Amino acid sequence: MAQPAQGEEALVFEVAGKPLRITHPSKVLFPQDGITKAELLQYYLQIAPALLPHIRGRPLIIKAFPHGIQGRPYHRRWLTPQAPAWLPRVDLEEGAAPVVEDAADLLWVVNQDSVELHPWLARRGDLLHPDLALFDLDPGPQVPFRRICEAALVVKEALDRLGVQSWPKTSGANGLHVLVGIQPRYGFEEVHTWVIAVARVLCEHRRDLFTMDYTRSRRVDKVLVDHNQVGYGRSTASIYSVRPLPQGPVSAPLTWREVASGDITPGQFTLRNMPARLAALGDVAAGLVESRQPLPDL
Amino acid sequence: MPQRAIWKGAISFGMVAIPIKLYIATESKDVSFVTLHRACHSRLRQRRYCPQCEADVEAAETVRGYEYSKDQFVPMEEADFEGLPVPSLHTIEITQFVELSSIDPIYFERTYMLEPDGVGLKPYYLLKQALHDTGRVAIAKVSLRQKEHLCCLRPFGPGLAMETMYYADEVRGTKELNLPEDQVKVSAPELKMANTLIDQLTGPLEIESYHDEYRATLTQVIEAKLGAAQPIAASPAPPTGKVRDLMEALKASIEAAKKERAAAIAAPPESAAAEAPRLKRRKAS
Repeated sequence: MAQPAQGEEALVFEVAGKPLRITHPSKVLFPQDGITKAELLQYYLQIAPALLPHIRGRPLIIKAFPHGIQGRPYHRRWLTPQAPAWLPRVDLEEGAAPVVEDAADLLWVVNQDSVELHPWLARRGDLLHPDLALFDLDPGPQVPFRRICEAALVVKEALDRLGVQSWPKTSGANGLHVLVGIQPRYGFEEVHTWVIAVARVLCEHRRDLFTMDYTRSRRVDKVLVDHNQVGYGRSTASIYSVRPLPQGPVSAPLTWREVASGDITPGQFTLRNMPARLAALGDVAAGLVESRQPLPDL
Repeated sequence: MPQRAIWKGAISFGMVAIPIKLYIATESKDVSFVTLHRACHSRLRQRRYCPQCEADVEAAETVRGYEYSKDQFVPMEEADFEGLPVPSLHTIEITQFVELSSIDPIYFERTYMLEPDGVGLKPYYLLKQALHDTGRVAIAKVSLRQKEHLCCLRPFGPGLAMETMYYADEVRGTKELNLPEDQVKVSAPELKMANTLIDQLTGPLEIESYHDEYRATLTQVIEAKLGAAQPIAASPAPPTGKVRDLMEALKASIEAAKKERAAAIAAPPESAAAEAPRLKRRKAS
């Protein structure tokens, strides 16, 4: 494991009018690929214009990899007194959770060795009512990626029939996520129940494809509809989040056309090529930011 | 924040039951620390590890055990505790009254305040007034935290305080200590001088004038360290660059890292092979 250079100076930069302190930029976080913290920071800074609208106002759970992605990460929900006073936060009973509003806030979080971004599904102002619902499609070990794309399209079709628009993204690992922008007026329990209800219909409709059984051995050739990521204080790797895997894959928003084409591979989008894709296509999930759909009855 | 009652029950006094709530009356203000990993300053977690099974153990899989001799245990299930005869469950049962001065302070364990609850108001103050007038304290038994305590009730300020007390067999004897009082002869002039000295230093107790100076100094040290960890807040030095410079600095840092890496690959250090991927497949959501 590469150690941060001894005596490396912390640098202070003015970002969004805030003094941002960058520490140990040459620390290697992805030892196989030589990806340093500087490269991670550069990625998030380049991607910030597209990323910020998606995560603005959401409390973040800091998942840091101080010893690189092969080391044990630690999770921190609450800010310590060392956090700068300018960092936005929401005060909750248990502590103050960091909130990202601009590039400086984002890079402060990343500078904590946060490879991944873990925002809540709700935003400040109303943390009890999520504005996102999530279908996490997690493949069994023997499911080819084509089949997950097929599964995602089945989810889309079902949601289309309910009159709900949805956005796909790679999880950055093996699966796909399907996101639905919802009106923030349903409690987490209600949204969770709704996701489960849709998942049940999917499982009944396509027993060959879907399962809700979390037991690994019973879903080797199935796609698990993981609904448990929907809950108060829970978080999933955000859109555009880097994942702690070799080559630094990112959770990339896709178009449904790309999902249907079957030309996508799960690790195709990385922190090294994502900025070029964003420059070429723009944020293909931009519509999700403003999407506020009512949950249809089932 | 208003204090929460830790216990609700009744003082049982002859035929009368006085409903009360119990509050903790004292708190220790020690500065507490957690143990961190020196390398990354993460809080260390305690693991329940079973050396026999070589596995971590969930709380639900644990049971209390009584060690009756070295490494020999009797497991005690919750059911074993439930059947125990504890007469003073949720009552403070007064058994007798004594002079406060007849109880040595060594027996006092912890102080609680009693607050009258609902209809208990009048008998509560009747008891307080009576204790005050007779100059006595009430000796009682009470069950707190799975233990039956001996306790005494006494007037304190505008209410009643309860001191839990050690049982006689919980106070360690002095036999094993070297305290040879009868072998020492004290002369009358020596005693007179000591008495005079005591008289000179005698005054009313102003307990507010005593402070924990160790704690105050320690807090100062912690605050100084906090300041040092946050040089932005502490030093008025202006920021050294702007966003454009940040991007430049990051690029420079990445370039430097790439060069270093290329050099390392050209001349592989002996440890390069050991850095093979060892990332475990976790559930990747």
